[in-house]
Amino acid sequence: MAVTGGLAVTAETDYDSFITVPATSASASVQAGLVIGDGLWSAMIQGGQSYQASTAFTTEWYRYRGFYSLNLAAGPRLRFRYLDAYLLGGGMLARYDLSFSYFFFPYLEPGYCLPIINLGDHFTIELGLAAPVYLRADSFSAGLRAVATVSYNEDKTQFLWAGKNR
Amino acid sequence: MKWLRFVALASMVILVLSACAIPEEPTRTALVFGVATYREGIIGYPNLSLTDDDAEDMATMLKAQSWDVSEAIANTNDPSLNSVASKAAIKNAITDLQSTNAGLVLFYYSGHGFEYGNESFLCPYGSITTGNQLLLDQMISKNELYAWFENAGIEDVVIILDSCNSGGFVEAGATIDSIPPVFGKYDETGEYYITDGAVAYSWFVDSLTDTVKSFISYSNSSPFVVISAAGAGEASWEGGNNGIFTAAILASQEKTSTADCDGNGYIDTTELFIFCAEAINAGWNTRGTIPTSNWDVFFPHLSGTAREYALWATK
Repeated sequence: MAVTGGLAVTAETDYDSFITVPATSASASVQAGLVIGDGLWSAMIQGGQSYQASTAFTTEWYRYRGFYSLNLAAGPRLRFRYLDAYLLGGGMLARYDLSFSYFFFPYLEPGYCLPIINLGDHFTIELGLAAPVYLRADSFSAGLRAVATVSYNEDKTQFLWAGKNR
Repeated sequence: MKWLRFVALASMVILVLSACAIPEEPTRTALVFGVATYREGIIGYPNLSLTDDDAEDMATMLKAQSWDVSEAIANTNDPSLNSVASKAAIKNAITDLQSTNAGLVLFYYSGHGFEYGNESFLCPYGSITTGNQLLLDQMISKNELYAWFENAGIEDVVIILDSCNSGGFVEAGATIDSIPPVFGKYDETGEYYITDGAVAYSWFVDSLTDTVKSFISYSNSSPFVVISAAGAGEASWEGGNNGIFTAAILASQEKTSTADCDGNGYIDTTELFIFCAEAINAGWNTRGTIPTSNWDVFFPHLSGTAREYALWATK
């Protein structure tokens, strides 16, 4: 289970004749994931829900609309000593705030996480960063999010740098 | 590491402040058109009763909100005066913006609308003959209206239409508009209509197939934000002092607690849409007197653009 929070930058990509101004907004998500395999390489699948708030207004008095979304993604995960890096690819089903407009877009999310606290024999709290890139049909969003994860490991797991198990 | 903490904190504060604050108002130009008289000297169809009031009240409200307003209303027995709201006059008004610093442009129209061959049209003055025949070449299509703005080089455009069949002017863009072109439907007995919040999807994920298809087939769309009173297959009604839709627009700056959803002190296009939609659905579509036909029910539509515009401050 993971909770994320961060920033996203959005700009329209659709209107050749118009200059569009990138604008920033806050974003957050709650995700549930499964990691299969415990070797150097493993596979990861993750689904959840996200919210990207509307951006700040530009000087022309427009802003990019906020939206709620459901997402599902999968991809490889690689362990470098203490740090797990991953690259997810998937899709988001979204709905603009206060509207009846639904839309879909693929996204990529590279990220990493580092176990920092042991909770018993099987649970670990991990912290990391993710950089989702939303490939929307009429615009482009990229963000940076802090990720806090509570993970359950089937095998007894202790990360020595993450504190003693009591 | 103190400096790092300071930078992070300062960045957060700047971000929060910048997200909340709205920049100084840009140049804003409103073109307001109302067509009440289509044929001089007669009462009733094709003339309308309240579209001139709609335009006047919208112009008054926009002026009070510091918009630079140009209004043209057909409501006299003089054809030369009424022609200020003809197709040619509307086109000229938009084209003339090219030579000005128009900034954000709001185009408002209240009058008849029409659907022909799966295409929606506005019916300006001069588009209905003395025999009540509709003149297609005197009506305004979506493509014509959009092209006039594009040719004038106007980038920031909000179009608000209080007319029948106006949903045909709304582009879903990269989205699926889940409000159908005809919102109401009859109940099982066929005796009464019901409004069942008849959006296309009961569950969020129901939209997956349609939205994926939409993503794959998407090529481009207009950045113009359009709010229509009704769907492409619906009538838009008037009653009381204004059109039902325009009355909701005017009420939006009064009912700040419900209209200004994000509480930033400004009504934006999305907030205006949802406020009007809820007001019409609660106050008209489900009013006490059961309408006798499906024809009575209507529901506004909003463009599927990624952007939204701030329109006016709440009182």
